[in-house]
Amino acid sequence: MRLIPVLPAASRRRGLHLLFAVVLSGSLLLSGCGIPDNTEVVKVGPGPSPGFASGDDGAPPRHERESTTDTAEFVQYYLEAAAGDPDGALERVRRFLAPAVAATFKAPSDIRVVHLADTPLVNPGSDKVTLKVKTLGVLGNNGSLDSEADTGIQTYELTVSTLSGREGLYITKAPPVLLLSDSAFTTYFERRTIYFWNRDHSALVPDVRYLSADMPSEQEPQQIIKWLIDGPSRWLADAVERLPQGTALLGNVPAVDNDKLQINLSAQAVQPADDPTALDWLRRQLMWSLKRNLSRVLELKIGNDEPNDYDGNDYLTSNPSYRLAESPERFLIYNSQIRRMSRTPAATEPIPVIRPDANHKVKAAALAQSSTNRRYAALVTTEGNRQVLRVGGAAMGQQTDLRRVALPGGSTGQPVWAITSDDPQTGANGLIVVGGKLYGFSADGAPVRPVTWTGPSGRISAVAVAPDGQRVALVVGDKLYVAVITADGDGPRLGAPEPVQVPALRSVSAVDWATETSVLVAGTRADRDRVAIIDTTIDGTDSTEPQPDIGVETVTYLAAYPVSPVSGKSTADVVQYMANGASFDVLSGPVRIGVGDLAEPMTNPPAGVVPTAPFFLR
Amino acid sequence: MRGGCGTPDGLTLPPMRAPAWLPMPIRRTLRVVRRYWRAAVRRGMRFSAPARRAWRRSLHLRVVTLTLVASSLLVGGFGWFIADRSTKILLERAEDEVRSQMESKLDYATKQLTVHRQVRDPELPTTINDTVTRLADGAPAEGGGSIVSLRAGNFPDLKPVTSTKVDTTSLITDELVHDVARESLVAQQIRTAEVGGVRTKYLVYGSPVPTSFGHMELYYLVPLTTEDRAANQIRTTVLVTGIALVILLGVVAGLVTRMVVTPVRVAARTAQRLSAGLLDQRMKVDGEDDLALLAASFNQMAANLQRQIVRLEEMSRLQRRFTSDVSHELRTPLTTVRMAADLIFAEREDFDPAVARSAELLQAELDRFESLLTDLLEISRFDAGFAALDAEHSDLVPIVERVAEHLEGLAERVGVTIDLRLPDTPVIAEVDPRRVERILRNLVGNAVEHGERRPVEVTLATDEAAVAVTVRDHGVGLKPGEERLVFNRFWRADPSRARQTGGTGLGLSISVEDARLHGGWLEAWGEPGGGAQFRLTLPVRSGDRLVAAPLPLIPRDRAIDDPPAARLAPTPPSPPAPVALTATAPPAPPGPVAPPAPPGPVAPPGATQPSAPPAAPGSSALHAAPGSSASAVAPGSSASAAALGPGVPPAAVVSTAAPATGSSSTGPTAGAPADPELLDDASRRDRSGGDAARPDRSADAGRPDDASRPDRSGDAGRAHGADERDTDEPAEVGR
Repeated sequence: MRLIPVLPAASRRRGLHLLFAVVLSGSLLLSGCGIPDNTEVVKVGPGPSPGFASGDDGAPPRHERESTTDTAEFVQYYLEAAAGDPDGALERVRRFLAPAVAATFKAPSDIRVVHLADTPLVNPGSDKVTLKVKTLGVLGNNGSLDSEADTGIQTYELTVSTLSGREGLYITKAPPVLLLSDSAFTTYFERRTIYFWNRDHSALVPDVRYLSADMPSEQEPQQIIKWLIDGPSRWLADAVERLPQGTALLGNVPAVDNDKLQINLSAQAVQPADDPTALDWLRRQLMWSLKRNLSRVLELKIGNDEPNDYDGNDYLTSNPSYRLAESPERFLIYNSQIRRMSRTPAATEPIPVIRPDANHKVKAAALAQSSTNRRYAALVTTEGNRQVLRVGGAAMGQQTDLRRVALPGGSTGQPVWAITSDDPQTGANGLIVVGGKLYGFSADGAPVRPVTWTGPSGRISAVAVAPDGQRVALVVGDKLYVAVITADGDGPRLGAPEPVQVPALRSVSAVDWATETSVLVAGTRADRDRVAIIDTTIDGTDSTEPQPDIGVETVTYLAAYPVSPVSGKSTADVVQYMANGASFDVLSGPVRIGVGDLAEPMTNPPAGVVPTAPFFLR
Repeated sequence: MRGGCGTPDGLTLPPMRAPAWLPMPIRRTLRVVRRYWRAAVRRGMRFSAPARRAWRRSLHLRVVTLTLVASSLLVGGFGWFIADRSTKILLERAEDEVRSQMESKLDYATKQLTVHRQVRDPELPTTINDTVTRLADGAPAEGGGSIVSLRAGNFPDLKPVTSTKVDTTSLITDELVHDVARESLVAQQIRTAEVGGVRTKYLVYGSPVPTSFGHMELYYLVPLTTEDRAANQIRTTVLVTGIALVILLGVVAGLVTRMVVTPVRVAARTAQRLSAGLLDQRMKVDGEDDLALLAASFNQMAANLQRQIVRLEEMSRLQRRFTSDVSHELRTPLTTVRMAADLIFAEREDFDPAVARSAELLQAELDRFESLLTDLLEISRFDAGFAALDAEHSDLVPIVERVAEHLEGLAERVGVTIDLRLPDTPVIAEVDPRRVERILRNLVGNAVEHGERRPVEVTLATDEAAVAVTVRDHGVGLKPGEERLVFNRFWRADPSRARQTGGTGLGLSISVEDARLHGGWLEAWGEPGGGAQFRLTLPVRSGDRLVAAPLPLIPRDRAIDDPPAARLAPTPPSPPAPVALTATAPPAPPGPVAPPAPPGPVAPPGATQPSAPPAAPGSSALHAAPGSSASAVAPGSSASAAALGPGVPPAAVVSTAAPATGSSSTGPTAGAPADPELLDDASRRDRSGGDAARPDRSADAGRPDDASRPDRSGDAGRAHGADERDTDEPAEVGR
């Protein structure tokens, strides 16, 4: 018999066992009710409805190497190959090259946009093709076409042949550059204007960029913002404000949804932080730059702040081009007096700023108004055989005495007001060409100062200021340049000039701005000795000929009233010029401006006196 | 399943037989399995026996156990509910948070991907990278940090981008990917994986991201570390609280039960001591509560009982003393009167015939008075426990002959012949010949007196263990029930009947005492008109225990007369089976009640052993005819006890065990605690005295409830179950 425990001990042990069992079962029970290690998949619900693939934006068809066996066409396609996304340009060009050549082909990544001076020379029987081109500029990764120093006509040699065992033509010898014809450039790229603030944030300055036509419209805002962040084009850099250091795009810019474009920038985009003014500047800059992509509302989110919604058109006023009148107030000099022209706005109003008694012996004049409607006048008058400048500024509807500023000797051109700032430090600054040199003056009557020209030497014959007041177009030595003008306490200064190729013209004699990104130039045609007025972009890649032939007389003075970018017009519709001492209004053709165009009819016009130097209140 | 804790000890499992249609090998296997199962059950029973015994016996243990079990279930269920709910709430909160975060992330990713129209857009990988970086930047870095993964399951060319360098294959399962990428469903899953060396639970949330070119999938994996920790803390708190509560409840239950059980135990112990005769035992009364009331009531009861018992004892003692004293005191004047009467009687012839007749009467009544006084003194000696057995080896044949001879005169007077049926050989037994002779004289005298001029048969028989003498008459017999009363003191069947023998009415009482002193039996049987038979059974060796008598109590002629009985049981061979009551009660009234019975219970150890020998086949003793009454009244049965005095529990009747040494002073209360059941049974037996099943009943003392019912007693056929009786049943008579 085994050991039989004594009863009390047994019951105690039994109690202990029971307690242990209870505790164990309790813990087992409880251990079953924590968060499980693994579960089955729980279906929460259907996912969001899938998006729809939007079609392409009607991008132009591309031509591949295999598309043709005609050498001329092949060369044309070859000159299109670099178009599109700059990153893939080299690869696309390589596809036209024979494999052996492609393997060793090296070229700068920049795309050289060229104007074919002549149709490519294709000689039947020979596989050599000669290209004569004029470089318009170099397209960088930032979409900006930077001009190069004029190198004249360049010649490139190509060898186009077939390869045995392979279909189609190949380029077996190619120049080590990425060439893109200007026609392909305009076809495969889209010109977009982005804007930067000028230094005192009074005006947005346009900056022209080129966007690949392949780019889906959804990606355009993103690309444009990247460009904005990357900064302005080289030649504008002195005159405009970059976005604050550290500005970055957070994420992508989603496609417009519900009429809303959502942009999220890093917190550094607004400096000083949370400054509403800076934020307002930023949003105006963005809204102008993204104007074409802006559906209705811009939702701008800075860092992790609450996003702000902007709609309406109040931003438009930030661009001075927008402030341009539909129809300008036109003036001219008649009988050494400033006169208003008939059939123009405010034709019966007195001449702004200038007292009537000062309105005599006027040879040329310029009137301008600032963004706050303060008006400035600059008059070139004759004192004996000298010419002096009289300047002054007054509030709207008021007149003031003009200050006399002595001018250096030499033939005097048309004065133009450039920067018309209310800031006393900057003040209103004007430019005038005297004796083939550029001088600056200001509204306070300070002596004129020569403005240093850093471009190729030559005689400055004309200067025109863009509506933003920061960019000027100049005719120097029969060639067209654009540059920026800045002003500080020492008066206006000119930035590095950018030559503009106008292939249609052999020489340029006069210039004025037609839109914020294009100018009207007058000069002798390249193909024949006739004078034409050409509308060209300020990089020369695209041009039209509003007046292809206005005779042989050299245009000495051209004045155009630019159109607003929101007007829907592609070029200025009020253009006037002087040739051979007479003034013409450019309508469908040149129409001479006569006494009858004066607002105050002359009952007895003096003989031999013609209206000259027509100008606008800018 | 059978067996287990609830199965009582000694359970005999019903035979489990495999159905016959099963093939033999399976049945054989089943048999083996069954055998092992039974062995296991038996072993389990054996090992759990102490525990089960403790369970049965300890109220304390039961209450504490039940409280623990019930409170564990309750607290466990409640705890489980709390823990489960809190976990669910935590999880739901986490899911809601993840869902809302996921919505903004999804919105962001969707917007970011709108700029890509084609999956081949070279800028797409950049956008995916930037998006993932941006989404991960906004995620909390706590607990290993959440993980963002942007994939395009439907566009294998696009590599999945994950915010951290983690192998997400175990986190983002194929099922989830299938649901999200193929079925375009938003789905979630909880996964656990080792991330950065730490095992972390993640809530993985996946959603398709619509794009222009199809859809991509965004997975957001949020660590549930905080929730898991909180859930564990809640669980631990609940567990600890629950265990503490359960233990506390157990302790409280234990304490409360102890408070109640301890006084009850004390009361039980005190009651046991009281019943053992320690009448001055009392409970301690503490305070005024219910338990104190119980103790006080108990003490009061004990005091009343004690007072009553002492009073009764005193009364009994006084009564006995009075009887004894009176007898003694009467003897002296009686002697004087006797001498005077003898003188007068001797001189009666000289007197007037009328005076002479008076002298004769005086003489006769004096004889009677003297014998009465002698009997009373004898009874007193019995009651006082001074009776001693003077046993010697004697031959019973001459004793019987001497008795017959002694009563020859009387028999002749009443016209009765005494037939002696004696064995030829001497019947030697260790007896007190004087007492045996007195018994037989009483029996034969009675038979002659009630013989109705019919022969009286005296039969002597013996076997190895016992000697029996039956005295049979054919007189008026006994009415049912009277066979017990005949042994009562001063009892008469018909008080109006003239006394012919001048008996004192104490003869049978003294005879019973004498038989008991020998450790023998004295029993009576009778039926109205059928005469009566008395049987004296004595052990051959003094001190031996009687198990059977060599002669039947019921005369053979009566038994044979009964056709069913005869049919059921053939005439038994000699010696007949014993049918007598094995009980020999100690003398009831004179027994001192309270001595603490140092020698132990009255019953000698042998008394607890099976007292009924295997029934001899066809034991005719049971074959009582309907209407006949056989008394198994043992010497000193309750009838006589009741006749002499109250205060003796009738349980004395079943008290058995012929005390070999004749310690007649041992009172019934000393050795036999008052067992209500037994008392009840005994009283029932008293009431149903004289039924035919009595001998059977008495022989089968181990089954007190059996055959005590009247219908049973009246059914001779059934009463004849002697050979069917389970003789293995242990007798509990000795209690």
